[in-house]
Amino acid sequence: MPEQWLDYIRQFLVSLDETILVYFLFVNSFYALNLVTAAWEMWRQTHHIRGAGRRTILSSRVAPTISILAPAHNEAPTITESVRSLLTLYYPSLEVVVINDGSKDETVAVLIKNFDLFPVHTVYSQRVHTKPVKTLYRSRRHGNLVVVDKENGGKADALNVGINFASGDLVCAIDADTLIEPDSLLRMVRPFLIGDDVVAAGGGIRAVNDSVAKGGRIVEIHAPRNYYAGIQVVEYLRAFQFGRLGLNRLGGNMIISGAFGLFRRDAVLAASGYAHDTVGEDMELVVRLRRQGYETDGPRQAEFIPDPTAWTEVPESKDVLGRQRDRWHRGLVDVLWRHRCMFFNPRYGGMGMIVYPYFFFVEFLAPIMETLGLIGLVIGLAVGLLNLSFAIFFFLVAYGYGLLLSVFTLLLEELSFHRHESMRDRLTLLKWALLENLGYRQMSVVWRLNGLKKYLNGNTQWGAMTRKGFSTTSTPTPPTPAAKSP
Amino acid sequence: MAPEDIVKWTLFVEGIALSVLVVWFLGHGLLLQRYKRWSQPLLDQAREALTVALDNPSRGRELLEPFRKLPIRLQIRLFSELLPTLSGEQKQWLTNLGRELRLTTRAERQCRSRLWWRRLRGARLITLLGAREAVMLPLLVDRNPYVRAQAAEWAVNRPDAATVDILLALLSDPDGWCRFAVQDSLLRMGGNVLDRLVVYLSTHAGHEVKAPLQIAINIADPRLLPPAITLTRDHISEIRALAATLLGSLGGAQATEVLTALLTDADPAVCASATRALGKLSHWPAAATVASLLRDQVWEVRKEAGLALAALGAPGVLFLNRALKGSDPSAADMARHVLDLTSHA
Repeated sequence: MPEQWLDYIRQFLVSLDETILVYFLFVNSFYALNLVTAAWEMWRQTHHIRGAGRRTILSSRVAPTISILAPAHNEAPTITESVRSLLTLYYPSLEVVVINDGSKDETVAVLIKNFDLFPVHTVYSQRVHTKPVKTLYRSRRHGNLVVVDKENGGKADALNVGINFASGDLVCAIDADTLIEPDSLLRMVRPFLIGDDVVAAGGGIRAVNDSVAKGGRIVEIHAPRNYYAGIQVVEYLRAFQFGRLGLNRLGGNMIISGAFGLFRRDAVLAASGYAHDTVGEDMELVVRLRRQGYETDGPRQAEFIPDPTAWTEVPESKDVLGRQRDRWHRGLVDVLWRHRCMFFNPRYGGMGMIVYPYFFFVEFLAPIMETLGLIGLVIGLAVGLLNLSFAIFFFLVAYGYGLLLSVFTLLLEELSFHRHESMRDRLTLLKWALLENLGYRQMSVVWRLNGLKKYLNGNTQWGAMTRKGFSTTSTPTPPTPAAKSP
Repeated sequence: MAPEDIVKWTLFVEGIALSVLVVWFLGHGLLLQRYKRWSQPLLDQAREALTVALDNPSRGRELLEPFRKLPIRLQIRLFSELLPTLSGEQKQWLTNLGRELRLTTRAERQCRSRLWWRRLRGARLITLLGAREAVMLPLLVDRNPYVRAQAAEWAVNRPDAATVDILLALLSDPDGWCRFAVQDSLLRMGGNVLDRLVVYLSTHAGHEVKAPLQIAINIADPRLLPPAITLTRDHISEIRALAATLLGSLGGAQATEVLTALLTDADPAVCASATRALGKLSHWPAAATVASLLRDQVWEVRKEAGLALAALGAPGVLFLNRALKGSDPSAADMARHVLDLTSHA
């Protein structure tokens, strides 16, 4: 190789090393800050939660009314149990709106039979434009159950129909296959009671795999033995109990999970509901609501509350998980692009100056930087320009820091809610935290890069999601069909 | 220091931090597990003893040995579990037991702490057990909103004029949680707050009366009529709309007269509120005016007009049928919706 080329490579590698080092320091400093704010926030919230009687809210006449929106698409085998579980949630004024999104199976027939539904007419304003509604049903047995039968239009469209029909001050968007703990709404409503500027709140999502459900409730919690599911438990804990909790103090959240989020209905209506043309509709709505709040001087905060919990089944196979992560990354890139005007824009306060840049530099750029780092390492080693021992130590530091954050999250969880009660489960979680950096993290980079590539190619497909169904102590639950609409 | 040394040192520090976290995590888990294994049987025994003692108050004291053996933390936990579900003599008996065990004294001491979470803990315990007012009244104006909210919860059983006045003032608290607790407490006090509420509504206006009006709507006593009528002339439309809703809960000739006048209010929310109230009161003489609102530009007003006409009975349905055949497409559409609705009801 000519000496001139070697010089170019050397210069390139030096610049790359410097960039990666600066990036590494920036990201890890932010994580360190997030770590402190998450611990502080957890301390503050647990003091408020512990010993607080939720009976006050449960029996209150001034608690805001809540409408739960449960979109269902071909959910006939599980819909009855899901709706029953929603109807038994503890909340003083609760409305359950089930939206049948053009199911081809017996979903509506099952609902009509099991809940004694009858068709009704109502005067409502279609403030958010949606696909046509075929019939509206009410239940003779449960006065607070509304079922809307509509033409298929996807999850976002189904939720928009629900928002049009809902009568609650707040709307709670859930996935039909999510199990919500009975007192979750009493906990989740707290930020709306505390602050007038809160527009959305999200609760924790936990992986239900290997835990046992009975009658729509989780009765035994176990750490999954499956490699992918186990690592996702640690990942979810880190994302929620550490990441999102910490962001509460750093400008608020930009993501409220589509599986369990509570929103101010008037604000959602003013923002024209969920966007149809994105695969990251939950994140997009939160960003739009917050942006609207800043632009109109309305409510603008999105808070994460650590104690209300929804349980969802996480993918146990590499392919399904890969499709999910690729979709999430496409959603992230799409949302960041749509709302790019907020990037370091002081008009949007902490969201524009801290949270948006965090999502851009850390969430969006991470897979690219990690790949560049690996490429630089390989080239550097190949042309003999890199000190091998330094490279090894540097990577150990980088991965060690990730491990440190994971173990810190486990500790935070242990000191606050300690849901996993057996030592065996604790050791299993520790094992998954240790293994996460060896293989899973690298696969995650590939999935996210794949998502970025697909986004640039204009791919907006959801990708098929298959689920096993919850473990139950009663009769086995049949496998859940595609949980999401196309 | 060379870059490689820096990285090595960082790795060393990481290793130590990681070891500490792992030991902490597993150690806490182990201790918690042992604590639960130790405390659970004690807790079960004490719970059972307490339940038996509650049924036999005469020999209660001798039955309570397992309860007395419990650490204070667990005693408080049992009190928190049981007391909200009890009433009458049983509640009194358990409250006295709490005093005997000096839990009340402990809570009173906590209420005077400089740390907010201790004051909150103390206030929560006192809400359960009761204590001297001198301890709790200052907490109504505590600097921490959670403590103020807890004190408001405690105040439910003390509906004297001074406390109610403090609570009414707290309805304008900057903290939402505190406002919620105060509003809830005032509602639970019910008619006991009426006199002070009437005075408050008569002497205040604007945003300050928003929350008190919501309480008034729930109480709906005729004595609230004069301030409600006055507040229908407030400069803030939201207050006028709430006052209209209050008039709809009160009823009477004066109320319907004012409500009919409000149908011409410039703000659609006030107009809709007045229309809804007239429908609720089935005030059919207003049918013609309400029917004219079927042609309003605002959908919400048209909807309320349609529903109010349906609620007025035959005269209202007559107007709806006329609107159905009328030239205004919006009015006809709403009339069709409402008539369709009533035919399916």
